[in-house]
Amino acid sequence: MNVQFKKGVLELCVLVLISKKDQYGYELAQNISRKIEVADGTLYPLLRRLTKEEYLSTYLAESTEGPARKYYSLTEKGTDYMNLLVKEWNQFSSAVNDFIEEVLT
Amino acid sequence: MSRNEFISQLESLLESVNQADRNEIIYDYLEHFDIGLANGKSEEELVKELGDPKVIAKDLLADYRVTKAEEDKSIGNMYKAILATFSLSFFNIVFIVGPVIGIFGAYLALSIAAVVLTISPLLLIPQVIIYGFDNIELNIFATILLCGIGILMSIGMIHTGRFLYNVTLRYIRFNIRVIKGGKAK
Repeated sequence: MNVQFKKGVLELCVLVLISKKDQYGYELAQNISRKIEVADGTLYPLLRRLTKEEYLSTYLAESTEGPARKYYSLTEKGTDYMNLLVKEWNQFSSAVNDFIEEVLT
Repeated sequence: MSRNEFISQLESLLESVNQADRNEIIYDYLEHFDIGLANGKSEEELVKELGDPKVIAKDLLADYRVTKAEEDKSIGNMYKAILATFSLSFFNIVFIVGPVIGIFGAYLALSIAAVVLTISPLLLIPQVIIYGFDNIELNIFATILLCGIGILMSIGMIHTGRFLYNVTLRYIRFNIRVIKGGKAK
């Protein structure tokens, strides 16, 4: 898939997944790469940026196995931002789908 | 590529990032490896999934530079403020301090003169002690005249003093405003 296109959508996916439940980086990477082919490494710069912009907050939590994990959770500001992105995405994708239907069916 | 190779490659690519930020970034990847290995993946697999460190570093560096540029803006502001303060103090030293010393010196001299003239009748006492009552009428009139002048001068000096005080205060406020203005821009 086109890299730039994926980058934009990745942000939305990350926010939506975290809104469902707080997750740590590895978990998030697994959840995303299950459906979208993405280099896990690029997820961390994205998480860092979203945290800096205060859409996400982080906290460390102990786990039963292995070391403490850095969890990401959605802030109030992040929720607003996610809702905006979802709205934009819906408008955009339905427009694209309309074109496809018009031409290819 | 192994975990250590991946980490050291990323670390060297992020050389220009300050130590604290770099440690934070590296920590995320170390955690990723730790959890991945605990879940039974091999280092090779995890490195492959993470992707090219160069791409990751490029992403991080772009973000880091933007943040730094924003910080630079405030450093620029501070620089501007310092420059404003400095150029103002240069202006103060060259164009203000000289005249101010002159004016305050003259003011001080005139004030002392006013006080001395006002208390000049007291000079009659040593005059009488030394020379007796010769020409006493003339001296009394002269000192009364001088005393009158001294009192008038004192009143004048008090008003001038108030004026100078206000001007100085206003000038100090102007300085503060210029310095603050430079900072706020």
